[in-house]
Amino acid sequence: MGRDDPRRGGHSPLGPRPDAHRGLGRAAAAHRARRRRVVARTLADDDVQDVLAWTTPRAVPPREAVAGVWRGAELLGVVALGTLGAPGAALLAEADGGSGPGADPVAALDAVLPPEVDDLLLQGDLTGIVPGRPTRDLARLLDDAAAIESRGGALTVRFTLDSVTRALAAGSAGDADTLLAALARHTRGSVPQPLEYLVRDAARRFGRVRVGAALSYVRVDDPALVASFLADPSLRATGLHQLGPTVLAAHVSAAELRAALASSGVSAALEDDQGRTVTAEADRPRTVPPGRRRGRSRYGTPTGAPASAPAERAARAAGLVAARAEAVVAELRSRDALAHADAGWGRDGAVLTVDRPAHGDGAPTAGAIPTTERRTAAPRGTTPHGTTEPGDLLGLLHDAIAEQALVSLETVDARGVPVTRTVRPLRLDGGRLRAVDPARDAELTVAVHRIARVVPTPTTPTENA
Amino acid sequence: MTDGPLIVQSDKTLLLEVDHPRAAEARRAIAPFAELERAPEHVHTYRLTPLGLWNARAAGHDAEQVVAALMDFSRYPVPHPLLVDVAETMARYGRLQLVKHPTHGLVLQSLDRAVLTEVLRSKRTAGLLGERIDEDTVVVHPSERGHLKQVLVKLGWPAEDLAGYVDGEHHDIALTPDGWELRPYQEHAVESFWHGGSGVVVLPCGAGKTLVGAGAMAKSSTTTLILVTNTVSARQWKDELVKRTSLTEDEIGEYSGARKEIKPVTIATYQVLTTKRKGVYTHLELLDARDWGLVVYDEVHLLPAPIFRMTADLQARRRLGLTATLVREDGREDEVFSLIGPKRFDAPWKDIEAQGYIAPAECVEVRLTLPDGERMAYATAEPEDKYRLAASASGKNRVVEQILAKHPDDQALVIGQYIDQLHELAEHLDAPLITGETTVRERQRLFDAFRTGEIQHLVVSKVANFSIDLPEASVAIQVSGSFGSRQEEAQRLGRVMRPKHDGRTAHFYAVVARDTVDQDFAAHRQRFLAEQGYAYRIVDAEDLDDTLDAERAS
Repeated sequence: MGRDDPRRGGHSPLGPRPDAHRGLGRAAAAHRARRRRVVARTLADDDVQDVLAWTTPRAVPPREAVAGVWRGAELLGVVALGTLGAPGAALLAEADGGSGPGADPVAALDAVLPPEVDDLLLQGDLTGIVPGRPTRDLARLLDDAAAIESRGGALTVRFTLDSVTRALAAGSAGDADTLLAALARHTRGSVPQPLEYLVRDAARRFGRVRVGAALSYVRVDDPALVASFLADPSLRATGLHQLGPTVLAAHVSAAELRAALASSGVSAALEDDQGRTVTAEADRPRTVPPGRRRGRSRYGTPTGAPASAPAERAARAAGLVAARAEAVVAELRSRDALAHADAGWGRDGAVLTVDRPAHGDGAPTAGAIPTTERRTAAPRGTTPHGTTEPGDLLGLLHDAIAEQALVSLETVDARGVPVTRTVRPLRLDGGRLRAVDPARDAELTVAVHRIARVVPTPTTPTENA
Repeated sequence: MTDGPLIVQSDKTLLLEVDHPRAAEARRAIAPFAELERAPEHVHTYRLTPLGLWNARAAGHDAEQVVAALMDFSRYPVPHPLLVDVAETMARYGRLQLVKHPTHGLVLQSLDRAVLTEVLRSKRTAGLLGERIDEDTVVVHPSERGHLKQVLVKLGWPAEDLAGYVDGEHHDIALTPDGWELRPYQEHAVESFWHGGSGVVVLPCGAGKTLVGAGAMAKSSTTTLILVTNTVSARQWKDELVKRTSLTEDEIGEYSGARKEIKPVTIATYQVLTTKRKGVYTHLELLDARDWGLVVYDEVHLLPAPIFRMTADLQARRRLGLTATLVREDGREDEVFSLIGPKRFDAPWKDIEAQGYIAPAECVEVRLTLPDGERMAYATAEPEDKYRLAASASGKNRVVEQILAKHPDDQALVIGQYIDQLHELAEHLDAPLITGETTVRERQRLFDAFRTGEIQHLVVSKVANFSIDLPEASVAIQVSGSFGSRQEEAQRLGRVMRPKHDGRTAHFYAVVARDTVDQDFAAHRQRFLAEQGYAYRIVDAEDLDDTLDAERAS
């Protein structure tokens, strides 16, 4: 109700200043003045409503609107206890074209508010008291760094380890020295020793546990290796940075990191969150940043890609002889062909293998080599229909959890009947898989040994068509 | 709007700026009805509670006085609802009165029929009240006088007890002021108590509560029953009474586990009174053994629940409660109010200290960083063992030694909770140890030796916390404590706060293991002590030497 509604032609009883509607004409101005006088003379909002209805029967503001404006006016001190306050009188005088101190609502409001106090009394029991209304600056400082104990004529606050830590964590108060300096600025004496100790203690404790984001990590046994990784220019793009003497974190997915390491001549084992080595379809990107997933487009024929230059470079780097690389390519091609030939699972199978060369940006493709090589050496249960191999199966599930992707899950139910459903795995833990079935919008838990086959489901099937 | 020293918050706290020129005046005006909650350097916080307002009402103050005091000294306009609440709360006291009726004996009389009706209809008063004599008067079973008062406080209509007291058996008691006399505040306390009838006198440890008791006994000159916390305390009361009054040793009896004497002045322990055999309190007859004219309760804040029940039956006798703090850990302040009586005298510690009667104490918290091995043990310990592990950290021994080395000429007490730790410490410091197992005789011998200066260091367990008198301990070191209870802190500080003959500063150290629950408990203590207005500092154990040396130099 703070605004006028031109369509209704009504105005809020205590609306904007008249100069805002200078174009409305003299009659309207007189009308408004009459309304204001009505408001000024009337004691309760019910009466206001009645008087408005009497004076302007065709444009009566709704009752709630009048009540709302009245409440607002009370909060501002324009009216109080059913009568006009000093700021209200000034507002009215100004609206009627008066001038001078009696018609300055800002000055009148200012005069009603108690003076601001920029004085903080700090005490040895870790409390602070502002004997009055704090300045904005002081109020913000105390809001950040202390817990408010009571408000009223004065503001009393208590500094606790939590409140100070909160201030340090929010960063608004800066570090311990800045915070202490800010407190000292507002207080008459010095900051009491226990409070200073508290702030320093909180600052000391604050940095002890830190959290950051990383997509993958490298663990090594030899600290010297860490130094060599950090010094390697070809690994720079992965954003490797040291966390501990033998731990590094990176900004790329585990598969990409592994591939990048492979390209610098280090073959790395992939491990799951339990520290077990995983031998999954590591050639597929384990986590795909959402932005990149969209960018992945329909590349040329899958057969062309594996022979691309990065793959060869990677093969060289991995110390594979050219002949062997050829063999790998041949194997890949035959598999791709197979995948396309497959009627039932072809599309899904294609995701597994075709998608890989489609990446084309070097690193992930390079990562394909070791796994494919393993496959060549010992072709096992992995089929284009996803996987039935328990080890690979877990890897796929881990991937799906990391990507929040859907997989087609074939489980064996209590009667030994295979059941296939499409689910989104959530957690793999203690031999159980927790997953959501989007079709039924239900969560299910499956013992891992009951899972017969896992087939990744493409996000957009047409993408790989 | 005046420029007063008081800020009245709508949450019923009163903030008193102590550096204000009118602060002392304001304090005098609000002390009768507001409870001092904390008294740090600059701003003292008082709280308005129903009990506090009723206490004031019982002392003869009325709502107008309270409202006037608030309005006079307040810097900002006083919240209107608060004034209304004060007036209403205070008006509740005394609407019901317990009086002696010439024909019906003890009766409950009401000045407000609606209140009486409300109370009569309450289930809680069933069985306590007898026949209704007229519209405004109901007979009270004399045996239920105390119980009824308890119930009425709970119902929010505290009764004014005007029924008077039995005179009790006369016995001459007089103070013998040879070379000493009651301090002005002690005299004031005795007067206030006597005029109020029954009630509680709140004085800090070391401010001479025993003398207030003796003063009250002299005033009453009747047979007196004194209830104290333990045997050591009982002996001290006896010594003090023999020294300060005309009473001789033969006139004072001790009623404890060891001895069962009933004499004109009998000192009994809470423990013996609350001893049950086959579900029956066997020593209850003591309360009726003589026609006591006065019952003195020492350390009211520790009064065990059964004693409350017994006190409920003693309402016809004058009762004096003595304590350092009205705050009870169990929150039964209202029972003290209804059964023993309203607060009759109260003086903030800091004031008495300023008058030079209590040595000023300086409090230092020493934070000790645990070695890695102990930190690991702490981190993996079960929650219930954590405090014990942290509190009895091995490094504390060395810190205690360091502190003692800084005070080579002072008598020092080392206080702890865990007996193993204390044994180890005593051995380490080559100092005698007093625990609950030490016999009373041995305890007394060691205390005496400590008093004469024969023993310089003494290691004590919790038993030393209550009512022992160690006048020359000017250094106290606390190595472990009972979960930061406020009441215990008051006691511990009381140990070192006794007047020193040469006016030296007393020192209170607390040794705390960093980043453990020990530190969290220490935070309670810090708050309590700072709230009581004591200088409080935190020092790292590593910096202990430098800090204390620097202090000495300054």
